[in-house]
Amino acid sequence: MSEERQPVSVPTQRLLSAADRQPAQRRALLLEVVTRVIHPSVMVVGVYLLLAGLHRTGGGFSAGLVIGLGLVLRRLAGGPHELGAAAPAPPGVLLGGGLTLAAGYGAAGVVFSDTLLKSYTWVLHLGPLGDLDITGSLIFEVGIVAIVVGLVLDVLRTLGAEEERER
Amino acid sequence: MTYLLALHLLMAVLCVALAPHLGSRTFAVAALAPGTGFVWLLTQAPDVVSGQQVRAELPWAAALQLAVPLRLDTLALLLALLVTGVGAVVLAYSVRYFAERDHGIGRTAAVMVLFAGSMLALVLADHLLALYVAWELTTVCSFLLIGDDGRSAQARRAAMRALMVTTGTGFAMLFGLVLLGEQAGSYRISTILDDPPQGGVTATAITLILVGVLGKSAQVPLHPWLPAAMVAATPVSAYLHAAAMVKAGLYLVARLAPAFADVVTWKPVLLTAGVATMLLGGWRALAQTDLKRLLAFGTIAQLGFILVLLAAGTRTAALAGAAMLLAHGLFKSTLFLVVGVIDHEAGTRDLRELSGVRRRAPALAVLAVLACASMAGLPPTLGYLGKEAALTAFVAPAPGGLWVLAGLTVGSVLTIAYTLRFLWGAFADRPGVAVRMQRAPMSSVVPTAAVALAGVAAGCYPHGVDVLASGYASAYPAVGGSYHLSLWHGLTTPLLLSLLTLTAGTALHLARGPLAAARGRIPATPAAQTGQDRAAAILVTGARRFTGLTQVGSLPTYLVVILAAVAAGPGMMLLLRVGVPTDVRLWDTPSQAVVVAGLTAAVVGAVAARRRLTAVILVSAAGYLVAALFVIHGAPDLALTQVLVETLTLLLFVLVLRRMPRGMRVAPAPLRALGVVVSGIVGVFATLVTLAVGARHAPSRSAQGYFRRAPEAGGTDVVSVILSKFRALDTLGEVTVLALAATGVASLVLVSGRMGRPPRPGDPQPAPDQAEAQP
Repeated sequence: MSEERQPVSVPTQRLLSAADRQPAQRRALLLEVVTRVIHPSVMVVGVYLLLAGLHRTGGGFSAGLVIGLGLVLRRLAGGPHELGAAAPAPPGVLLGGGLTLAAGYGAAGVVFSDTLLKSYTWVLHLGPLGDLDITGSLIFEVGIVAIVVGLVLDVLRTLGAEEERER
Repeated sequence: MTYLLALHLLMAVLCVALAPHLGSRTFAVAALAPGTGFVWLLTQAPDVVSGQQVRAELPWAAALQLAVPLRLDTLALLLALLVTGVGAVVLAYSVRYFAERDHGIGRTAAVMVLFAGSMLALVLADHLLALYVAWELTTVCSFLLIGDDGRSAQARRAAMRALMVTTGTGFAMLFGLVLLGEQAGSYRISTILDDPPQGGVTATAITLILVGVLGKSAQVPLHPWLPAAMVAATPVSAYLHAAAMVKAGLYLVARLAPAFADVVTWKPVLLTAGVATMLLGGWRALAQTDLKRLLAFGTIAQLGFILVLLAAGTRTAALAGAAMLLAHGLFKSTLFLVVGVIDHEAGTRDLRELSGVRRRAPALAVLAVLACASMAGLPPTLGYLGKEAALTAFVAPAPGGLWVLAGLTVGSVLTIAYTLRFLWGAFADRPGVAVRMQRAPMSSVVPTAAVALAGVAAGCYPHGVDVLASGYASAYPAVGGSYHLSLWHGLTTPLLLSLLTLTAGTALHLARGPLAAARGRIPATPAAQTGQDRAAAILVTGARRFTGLTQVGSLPTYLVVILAAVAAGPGMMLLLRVGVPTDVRLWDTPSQAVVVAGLTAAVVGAVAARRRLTAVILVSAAGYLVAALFVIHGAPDLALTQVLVETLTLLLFVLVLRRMPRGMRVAPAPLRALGVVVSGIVGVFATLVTLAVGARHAPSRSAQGYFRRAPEAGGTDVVSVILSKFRALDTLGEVTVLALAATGVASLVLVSGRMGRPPRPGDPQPAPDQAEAQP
């Protein structure tokens, strides 16, 4: 898409890496700007929920949902190509990898007895931010995050394909 | 024994893993499983024949008193030796047979090993239901083997027919087995045989079991599936005919005969079917030009013969039956393997196109002659021992009358005729026919020789088989002195009968020209084959119609059916068992009332909305208000998840709705009315459930435990700790469902590869017409 054919209201600078690959009439300046601004924060909130899960409200499932919502935002603002740029890995890999992590954690608990996994708790001292407990079950939570993100990605991809077909 | 069965299962898995690397050599690895079994059985043999049974028990669901008891006695040993021995030989032979094949090796090898394993389980099982499971496992394995990869319509039809006949009759057998088990008060076969129940119900049970036997062992009129199954690869046919599948029916007759041979239907059914099968099989075998089909009809005839022997219920007949069971396994596997070599090296198995095979493959000819000697009952082979014993059993105090002896004699004449026809067909020189036979490779001949020579060796050393067969036959009282297998009994009536059948059979073979002409004048019999095909077709069409009738593809219909089922099943249960809760508090805090008022408004608005987007947003609003309720109740985790899921759903809806028309189509009035009624009922049901569940206000004991132990488990947020620690298995199950659902939906919509990623910036832009063409 050449420069001079773009309407004036469309940003020329790249806010999102692949948003310019969708037709100009489908782009929304405000949405792109907002997405650019808040997407990193959404990811940080996701990670916070994952780490805070043991002691406060949060956990793998909500963390995955928040990260997934971040992806939805990128998809809405930037189209299917933007989703590809934002996705950490193909949905199949995320789903399979997440299941392997979660089930592997469970299986390891069966094989090596629970005590081994439970006994490992690292406490990170983060100065003014307080202490952060990292326990073995974080592996399990990360697996769940991967599955939920994979699910969202898969649904988005599927709907995207539907959309492609109708177009 | 349990380990032996486990070994087969493991080996099957291993075969699939190894096949891409080893190719057809996978079969050699696979042969280790039955081979190990064979060796182990040999080590147990001295104990078993001296009367000690080897027992093992595979515990399963102890609470339901379900276990799989295994028992190795003489009869089981005899068949297990056959199953494992022939299994190992056939698998070793397959290495060469499948050498040029590049697909489906792992599949075939795995199913063959499973087949051997299920057959082994069948003969070892000491429980009627375990026996039935193993019985149907062999059916499924044979279906998979006959159908192969399903690329040929003929193979599919044959597999379908075999499946239909054997599972259909197997179903009757299941009824019989359950009846018998209930009648005897025990499902243990050994217990039932020690103290067999009597009476009309038992007779019905036995008759139903016999239906299963007749189907499985391809007896008249259920036989046509067996010749049709000849489309399978030759090693498969060899195993199917010699050791597995069809022998299952004979095994069951042999197992039950000592206790139930006097049941009123037993002898009429089995003797008639057996004799008729022997005659029909022999007669049809004489007309075949395809060597494999000739052998298949020969198998049918032999199965009839052995069935008569095992069913007769006398010691000598049982002895003969056991010997023939072994003999048939050995010579029939040899002959099939010989045909396999001929087919493989000459490119045909039609006897009209074969010539010069004897000169090109003399070793093969010798082996075939040895096996044929056993089939025809010539000394010094195992078949001879069996046949002499068989004739003796029916000469003196003939069980079932002289007509059985007459039938068996005529059947023997036919047997000798088709044996000669096989030898003549495979090895004779035909003038004017090109010699296409290549040299027979050693890797095929050696396994074939193993089974062929085993038959002769057993014949030359009658004592070995005699010990084994007598061990089984001793279940009957010895009447008029005990008969033993031996090469020479003196100049007796059976010997004279043997000579007579030999002469008549040779004459019949020599008269094959006029015979074929005469056969052409006999009108074609109503083939049982077309009947079975038609039944299979009706079954398939019926299944398709039923699917079409129930799977209408309309989402509202499915939804109505599901919701109606929920309301009718659990709803009724709730109403009858729990009743309507009475002590209902309106609210805990007035703020709940405010939220619920908003909730009601949103729901009513969603129903009344005329535009899709409005409806979706109102439904979401209801969802957010539910999250507010959670917060008021003090459940922030729940509220967080609810808000996130609600947001995600809303965004996805928006993504879809952009592409859909704005307004909603109004459904026809009757459908709308139905929808209103069903929604109303479900709404009432949901309200009742909520009230019933919320009626309990005291914390449960397990909840207290969770709260107490959460800090020990390394967290203070009890919800997270429950999800990731106490009930981690539940969570794992739930996320597995999520993953499966995502995969399922994506697989349905995107037919392309599962591992593909969304398009990336660097990808080439698909041309518009390509994007259109994508499914």
